[in-house]
Amino acid sequence: MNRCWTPQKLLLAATVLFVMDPVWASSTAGTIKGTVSDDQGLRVPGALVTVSSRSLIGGAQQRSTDDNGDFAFQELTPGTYTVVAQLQGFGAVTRTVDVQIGRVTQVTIELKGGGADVIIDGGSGPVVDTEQAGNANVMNNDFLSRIPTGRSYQSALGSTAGVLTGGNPSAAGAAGDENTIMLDGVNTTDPVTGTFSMNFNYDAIDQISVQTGGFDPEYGESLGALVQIVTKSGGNTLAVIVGGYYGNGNWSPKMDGRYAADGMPLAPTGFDESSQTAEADLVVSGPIVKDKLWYLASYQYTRTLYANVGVQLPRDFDAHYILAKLTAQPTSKHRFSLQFSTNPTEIDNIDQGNSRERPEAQGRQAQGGYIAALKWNWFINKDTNLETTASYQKTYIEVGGVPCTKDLRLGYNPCEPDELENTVDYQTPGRTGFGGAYNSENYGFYYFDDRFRVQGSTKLSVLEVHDPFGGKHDLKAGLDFSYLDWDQVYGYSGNLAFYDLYENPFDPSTLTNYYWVETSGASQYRATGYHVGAFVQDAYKPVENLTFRYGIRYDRSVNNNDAGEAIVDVGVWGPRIYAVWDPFKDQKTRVYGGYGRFNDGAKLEVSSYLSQSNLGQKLVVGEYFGNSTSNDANIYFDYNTNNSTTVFDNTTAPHSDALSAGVEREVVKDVSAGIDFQGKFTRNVYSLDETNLIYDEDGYAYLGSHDGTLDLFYRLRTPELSQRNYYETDFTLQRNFTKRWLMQGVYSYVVSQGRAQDSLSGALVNPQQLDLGYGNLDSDVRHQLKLAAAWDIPNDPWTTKVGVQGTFFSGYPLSRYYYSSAGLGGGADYTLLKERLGTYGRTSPYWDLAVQVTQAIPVRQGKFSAVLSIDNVFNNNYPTVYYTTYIDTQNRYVVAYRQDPVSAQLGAKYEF
Amino acid sequence: MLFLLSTLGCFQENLPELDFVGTVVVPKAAATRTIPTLDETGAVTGSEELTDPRFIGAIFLGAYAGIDNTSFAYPHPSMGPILDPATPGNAFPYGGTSVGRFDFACYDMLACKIVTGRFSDYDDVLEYFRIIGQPVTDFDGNQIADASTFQQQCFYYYHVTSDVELSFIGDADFTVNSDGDFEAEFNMPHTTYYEGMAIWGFMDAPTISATSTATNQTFTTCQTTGSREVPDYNDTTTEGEQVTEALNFPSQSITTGDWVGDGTTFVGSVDAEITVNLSVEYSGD
Repeated sequence: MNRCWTPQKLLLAATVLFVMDPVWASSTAGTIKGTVSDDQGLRVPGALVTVSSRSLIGGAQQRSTDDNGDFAFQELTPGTYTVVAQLQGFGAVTRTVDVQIGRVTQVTIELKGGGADVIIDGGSGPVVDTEQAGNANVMNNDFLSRIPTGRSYQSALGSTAGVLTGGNPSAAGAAGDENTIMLDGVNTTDPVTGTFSMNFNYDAIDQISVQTGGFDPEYGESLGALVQIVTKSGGNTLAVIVGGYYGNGNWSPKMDGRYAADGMPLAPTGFDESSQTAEADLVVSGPIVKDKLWYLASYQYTRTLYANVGVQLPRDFDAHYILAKLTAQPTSKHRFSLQFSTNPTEIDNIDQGNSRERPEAQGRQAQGGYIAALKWNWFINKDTNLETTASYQKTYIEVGGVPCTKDLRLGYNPCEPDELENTVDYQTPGRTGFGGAYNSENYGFYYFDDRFRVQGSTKLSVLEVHDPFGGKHDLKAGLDFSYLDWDQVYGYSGNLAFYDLYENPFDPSTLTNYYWVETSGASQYRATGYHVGAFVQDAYKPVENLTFRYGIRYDRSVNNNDAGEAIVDVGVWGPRIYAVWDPFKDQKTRVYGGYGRFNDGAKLEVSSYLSQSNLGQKLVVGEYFGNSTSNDANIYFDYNTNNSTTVFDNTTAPHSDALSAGVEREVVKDVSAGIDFQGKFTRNVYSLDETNLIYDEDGYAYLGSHDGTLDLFYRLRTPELSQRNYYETDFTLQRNFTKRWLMQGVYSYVVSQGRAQDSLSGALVNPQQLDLGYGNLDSDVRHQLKLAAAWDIPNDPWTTKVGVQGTFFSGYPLSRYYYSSAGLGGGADYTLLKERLGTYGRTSPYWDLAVQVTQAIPVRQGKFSAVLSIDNVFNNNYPTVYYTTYIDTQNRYVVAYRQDPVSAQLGAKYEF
Repeated sequence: MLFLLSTLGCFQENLPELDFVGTVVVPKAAATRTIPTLDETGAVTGSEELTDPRFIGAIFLGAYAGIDNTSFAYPHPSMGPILDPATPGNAFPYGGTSVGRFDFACYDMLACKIVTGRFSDYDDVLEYFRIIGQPVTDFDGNQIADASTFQQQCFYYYHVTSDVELSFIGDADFTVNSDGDFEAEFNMPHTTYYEGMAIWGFMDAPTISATSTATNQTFTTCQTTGSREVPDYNDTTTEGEQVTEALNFPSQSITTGDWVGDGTTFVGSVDAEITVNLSVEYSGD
């Protein structure tokens, strides 16, 4: 399909745009805008407006309304604000509103002539942002503390329409590694994998904003969700939160999530996985200098034990999350924020896939990293802000054998009497080998992986710029830069030998039932890259009730492989334009629509697929397949000793063209209802195709090759065919927390089709299967229902807070694969399609209900509460999980993961 | 707005490979074979000539630099250097495809004997093998008498519950053209295009004898050795697999009785109409 912008298409697009809309302004702060009028409805210039909040460092801020009676405050830390308007001859009017990330809180104040001071019960403030063109789901502290979201920001993302489950969820049809995760305005997304890279104390989070499309030109490099996490900053009073939680999945009834050939669940079995979680939290914040310098320090310790069915030793996850933050506002013109976050984690017994694994042969993984960031806001004048950010991030993963321990309570791999603690034993037999075969030696694989990102950005925003032709502009422009580096070393500590999977007698002299890996030492890989972006954007209000949001960004990304070859070298534009209309001029309705292009500059991982240096391993294979009829002893496989991949130098950046439209209305006080549509058309997704082999008409077997060998030669491409077409319609109902309760409900109807669910797809490898490779993608979960509600029962001071969250997914699409002697990886496998992708059937629907009860217990000082959370209350089966939605002909049943069992968490929290 | 959109440009991948579609024509003579006539016990009593598209074997098509009309008794793709007198040079195709492929039809005795796109249903298979003197039998040598038994074996073997999931039965590839010959469309994707390149192919015709039926319906381009093995209690089924270098060394697969492209199909433009005539019967050196 030709997607060039012909004049006809341009005209059509322009027509569509003028009848549709989306989103804008996203940052780590919010804005209050408003008007002051008198009791005759006439705008009042010169009225003094004061905003103040416990969240606002530097003290209260004041503005005088302009000639039009308007006022605006930008870069306000999220939180609850008091807005006071005063004018001589009128009584002061006070209103309380919530400020949320990236939102404009509209405040209309009417002064009463000669009257007394008035305090308006504004609830949470306006529920409809009439300048917002997209669908940002902002979860503030009211939501995060009351709704059972699993005490992790990754879990909380699932509350957003169009976001599926998982730590790195698919958002609006994108792959799980196409999201951007920002912590206090700094991109923390893993530079290699595109997944989340940092964990931190849940209680330190103030707000989370999730946008699945239509975000500002200010943000690039994301085809999925833009997740903005804003942490607390402290305040003028000392605040301490101490918490402890214990969770256990073993309290559930035993019910195994396996399915028979006809898709029906198998009978419950007596064995099960096991899981336990313990968590301790501490958040301390307060002033160092009142109104000038605040601090926040938080620490979380988490330990999780998780064992797969039949595996003796649980995966032992031991993590420390530390976040420290200093916020300073020495003068009204300057605000600084210095932040440091680290999350060292050790994971023992990482291999949960094989119950025959011996304890001393287990692997250990250390992971984590740190990020240091400095942000400077220079408020040049009341409407002009220059924000500059610089950060340095390092993440690491290290994998190796389990060192011995002298702590006998651990029960595995004890040190010999004369052995130093933490010695790694590579000699003791016990490790299982490839395909589950027994290994004569211990786990000698090691892996050291370091990832770095240095980034900086500067953004200039100017509000309330009068247009000579009428109306006002909010302008913003900026530059951002990042340098990425990925170093990894991996290899085996010695040659490894494996015996037959079936434990047949082996004979080293003939190599019967025997194979091993010879290693030539460590392999090293290094990839580097940089990204430069620039944007300019405007929110133009030609008239009071109409806002045009438009702008453009340019992204230049270069990613080099280990040989210094530029695997990715793209410069792409991302124009965006949206319109928002408040038809009744009552700030209770918005009708929006628009278009945006979003580009993905690529992860460093992409360049690794074209590595030149994966040398060092040689697989020597004896006749280890028990049923082999050939006598192919001494088959040598030189593992990737040549560059088997070639870069096709004509590539572009994967991108999404997104159309969005919607209407939202405050139907009753504090409750809004809306309908939103998003069509996201993603093209040129990174894809590997194979250029050497020639297939038969069905792609079943090889007929020959271009170069006379059967070697695979992959090529990196970004073809038009590598695509997704995603349509999402949401029906939402929302009430922010006010008068003791909140509610959020969304039903989404989703269609997601294409060839490339993954960010690097193999959909083009077999050219004879191209037509069948287009179909329902894993993100095609047609019906999605998400409900969340919370109520503070009015039994103060013994306040009981009840929160529930329910989720319903109508099932993931299944593909059925058939045996092919020309599998995608080059070998025979179940890779042949006979009907379109994802059209074979669907997993059974899945629903989940979580409940959280927080009971306040009056104490002399502060607030003490006990918390009980139960997830998956009805122990409902979870169907096959994301990325395993296939059935092949020799494996009719789907062995799903064990369901997420019902689990309960008990905790206590003390705040003052 | 138009300015903004105009910045997007249009990405043209400009791949050096293209997809080609065309028609392959198999002469009526290639689908006409002399088959045995059998009595009620299956004994050969005589022979008769029969024209039937089920006699059309797997067809392999490739795009090549040119045609060599001198090295073999039939047109052959241009080859690279012949390093070993016993081995032809490598033909290095730019792309290729097939019309029909070997598929396993659930019984061990049918390994390497079934080409897709030739049989409409189970009865079609049973009838064909009956008339060529090789009635379909199970592991124990019992003759398969009806389609229902055949179907049940396939459902059991492949773990399926619908004929749609089986590849060896279904719509036929070939239709009869106005000349009485058989023709079928082919799709040759991902082919590197060079102006003037030749599209050439051959049909691996099944061995059909009216007198010695034991070796009937065998193909040189399919091998059971090294192919997929599926254990089933005490038996192991070998499904058969086509050779992987049929387009690189076609002369190693072309044997007496096979039909070869006439070597006159050259592609002068990317949108040229392509017809490949397999009109040359190889009758031996």
